[in-house]
Amino acid sequence: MQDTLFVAPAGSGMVLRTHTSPVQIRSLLTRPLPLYVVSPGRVYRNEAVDATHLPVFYQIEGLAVDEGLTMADMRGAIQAFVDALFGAGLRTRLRPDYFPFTEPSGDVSMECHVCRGESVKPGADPCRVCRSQGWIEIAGCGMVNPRVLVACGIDPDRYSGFAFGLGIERALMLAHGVSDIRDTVDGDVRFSRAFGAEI
Amino acid sequence: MSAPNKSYDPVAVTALSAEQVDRALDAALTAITAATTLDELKEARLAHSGDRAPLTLASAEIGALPPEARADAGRRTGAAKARIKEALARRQEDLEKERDESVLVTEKVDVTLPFDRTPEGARHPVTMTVDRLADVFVAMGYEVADGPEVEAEW
Repeated sequence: MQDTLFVAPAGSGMVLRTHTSPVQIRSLLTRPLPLYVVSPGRVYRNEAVDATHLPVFYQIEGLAVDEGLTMADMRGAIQAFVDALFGAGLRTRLRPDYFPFTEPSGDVSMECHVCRGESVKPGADPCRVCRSQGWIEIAGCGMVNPRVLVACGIDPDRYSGFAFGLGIERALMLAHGVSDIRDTVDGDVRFSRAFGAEI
Repeated sequence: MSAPNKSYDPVAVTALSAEQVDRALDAALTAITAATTLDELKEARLAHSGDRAPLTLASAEIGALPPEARADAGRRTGAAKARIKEALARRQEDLEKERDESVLVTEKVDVTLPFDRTPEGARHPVTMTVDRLADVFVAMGYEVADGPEVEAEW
């Protein structure tokens, strides 16, 4: 799915993680059920640097495994986090997507927090944040594939789970109107100062 | 200003007499020398070379003189004004030099003194966002998990 950075020597079988999902499996193997974890962390992808891509960036993923968890629980968790980050009152929606270890999978969009969907209406001012789409994709999510649970020694008939993940820099850029992701790694204190950092 | 005098002659314009011009010149030079600051010099300039200065007003009266007296009066007032101008410029230069030198002393800053404001540093905005998001989920009962950044390929 991603362009991966491999660890020398060739054939070592080791890679710099391209997402924080391995942490979820480690948690499933070592922690007792029911399990509710988030794993923020640095991830690596072999990508060219531009205004929206860095080869090293941060993700946060969540995993919940419990008895009787459904997609409704997942929607609730996602809505709660959108409310916390962007303020209450923004709708979220799920659309079908594909991820290797969740079934079904979805991508999460939230109503544009700048135009609140107004820019879609005929004759309305265009919105640069959502490109007048009215919705912004912010995360991927899905119900943990039962075979993943089996591989971790968990009875999929008794337990179910959901997982989600999103990019930290992207969330930060959206929440604070940052247009270039490279600002986060330039090391310019004037950037940090805008976030209340006294330097 | 008086109208040109063509009808009668001579006319005594006291402001243009040699003694009056000399007196105005002396007063101006004295004031300029006496000025010890740039502000005082500015006052002296206004008083002795401005629009209401005696010599300025006097030259405006030249037209009232009989034609044959005008050249001589013009020369005398012109020379006096030139001397005042020169004296002003010289004094201005001296006072500015003096001020610049005193500023160097009074506004001296010792840049080798220890710096009294040590920047405390701060967490990176990305780190703050990570913490904020993690806090949201911790509030919902989630735990925070960490793992290695180098993983098996499969």
